[in-house]
Amino acid sequence: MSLKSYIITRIILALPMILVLLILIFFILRIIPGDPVLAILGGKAPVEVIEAKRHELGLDKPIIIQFFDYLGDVAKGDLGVSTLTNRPVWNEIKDRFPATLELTIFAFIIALVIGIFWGAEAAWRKDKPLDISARVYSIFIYAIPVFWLGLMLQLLFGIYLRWLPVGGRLSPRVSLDIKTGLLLLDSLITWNWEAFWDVLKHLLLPGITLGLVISSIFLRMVRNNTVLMLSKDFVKAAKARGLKPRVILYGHAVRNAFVPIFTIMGMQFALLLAGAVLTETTFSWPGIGSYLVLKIKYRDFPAIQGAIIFFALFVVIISIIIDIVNALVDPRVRY
Amino acid sequence: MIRVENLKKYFPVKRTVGEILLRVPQRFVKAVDGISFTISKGETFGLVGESGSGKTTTGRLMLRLIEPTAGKIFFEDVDVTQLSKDELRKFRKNFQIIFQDPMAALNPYMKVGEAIKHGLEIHNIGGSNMERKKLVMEMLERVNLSPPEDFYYRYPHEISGGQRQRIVIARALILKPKFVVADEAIAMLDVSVRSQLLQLLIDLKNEFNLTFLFITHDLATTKYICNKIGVMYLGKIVEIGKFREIYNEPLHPYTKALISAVPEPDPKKKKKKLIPEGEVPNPINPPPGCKFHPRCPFAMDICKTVEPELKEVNGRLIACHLY
Repeated sequence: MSLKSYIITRIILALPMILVLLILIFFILRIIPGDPVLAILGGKAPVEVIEAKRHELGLDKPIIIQFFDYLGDVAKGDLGVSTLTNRPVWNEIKDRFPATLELTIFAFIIALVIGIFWGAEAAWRKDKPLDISARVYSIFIYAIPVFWLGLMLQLLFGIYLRWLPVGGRLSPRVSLDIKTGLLLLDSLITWNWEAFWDVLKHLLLPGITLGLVISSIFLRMVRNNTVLMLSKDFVKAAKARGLKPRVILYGHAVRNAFVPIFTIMGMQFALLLAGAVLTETTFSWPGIGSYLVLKIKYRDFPAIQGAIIFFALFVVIISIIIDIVNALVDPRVRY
Repeated sequence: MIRVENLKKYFPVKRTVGEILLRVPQRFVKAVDGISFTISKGETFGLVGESGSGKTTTGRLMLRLIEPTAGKIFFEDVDVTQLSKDELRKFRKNFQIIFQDPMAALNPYMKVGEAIKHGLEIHNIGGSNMERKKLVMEMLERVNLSPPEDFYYRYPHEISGGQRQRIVIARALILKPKFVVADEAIAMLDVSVRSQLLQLLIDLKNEFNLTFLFITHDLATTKYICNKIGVMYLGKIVEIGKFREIYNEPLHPYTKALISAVPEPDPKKKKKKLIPEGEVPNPINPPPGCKFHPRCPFAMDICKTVEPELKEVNGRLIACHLY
């Protein structure tokens, strides 16, 4: 199977998954208590006004009809209009997505750096203090709830030390032309150093919070797989040739250890997004995660459905990209 | 050319947290427990013994792929155990190793040609990249992988087991080592390819004037390649001597048992088999005295208490109270 037909198969297989997800979320939203109309108008609105609003939103139709109407719209690429803001859901998601992307990329980089270097060095010094501390660290960090870690970091660096801001992406006094929506990139391409520092300072705490949580999983994976690779004969052969330890470790052992890690990374990305929901809420980060939480509060059905479909698509795309990278890097993987 | 003196390797046995708290003393697996031998230039020394006898550990110790607990290894009067890390890395081109499992011995990410060339790059042999490539091509041809261009750009998973082992041999020999450890080098291959590779090793040994340490559990193969053999049992050498002499007239009871187990091609010749009873004892807790005594048909009282030293008998060395 060629890579191209593999990608097409993956995308086709993703469609039924998204349909099932859509059915589930559509009906669950309507089963759980809470009424979007009351959420918008408040409990004291006159009955006529409530009924008029209900009719306007199409919520007075039978649920099955509502569902097929919605399905038809989604098939046409229309995610509907937010019941709360009356703006198209797609536009709202589009505006907020860069914030989530920037946060997740930053967290991913932090996790990778910690995971690869600490993991590799721990594997090299198996059962020595560096290795034991790595194992203890990853268990601890994995067990800590994201939001609690975020709160503690806010308390320490934001409140006591006052080094870093506790929320938002950009200070109100700093001006920045937004082009890509990735503020770090925007400030770089416009040579706006003041904005760059400000953005970076805002990004640090949420990025580290999310990055640390993901790093625990990476660290364990890198360490375990590298330990396994270091026991292989080709590593001993490299040593017998007189290769430097650093090159043996990173060039031979870690590189081979990455095959299974790459595969799991796709799944980790989904976890990263779940972590992003909590992190964004803790740090009032204006991304898709905090958007979802806000919309759930107001029972904004189209927006919640839209955000969840978007998340699902994003995870699918990322895992396809990771598979492609895997195929390019590993000579044994051919689709 | 190579002299091993009282070489030891003890592996600590992992203790559980409970055992550490209860102060259970650290125990060791005595994988190699004080062995000495010499290999002269151009000689092929066969190291034979059952699994777990310490053959592989000895091979790795001699290349200092693992650090010995005690003992000395002299390579042409250089004590390898005393070399610093940097000296050792440069010195490594003098001795190389051929592994048992050719799949595990090759990095799956490296094209096999690159894997062979790598050693040249590390030791800065052969000036330019073009020249190195030429050397690799010659070497590929030499191990009968021709045309070499067909093999240079392949990955390990794309070639057969026998071809992979040829690559492993080429990778070891491209550095023009003086001493090569072949650790069960043909044990994992199909029987049909084994004899070809054995012949290749013999040819290469003569051509490059190599000194070999040939580690095997299969006495039958030592017949074709070894001048001298050492028989190991539980980390100790029990008998060393010229191959012919030992093969024709084994003296140590353990060697007798090993040789009686070699299959005889002629069905009319009935050999008496002296297979020792029981299993190899646990190396963490070896029996006192001669380590072979619980399985030895000739065991005497002294064998249970006094460990026999290696001593010369009829021009060979034997550790047994019978002689």
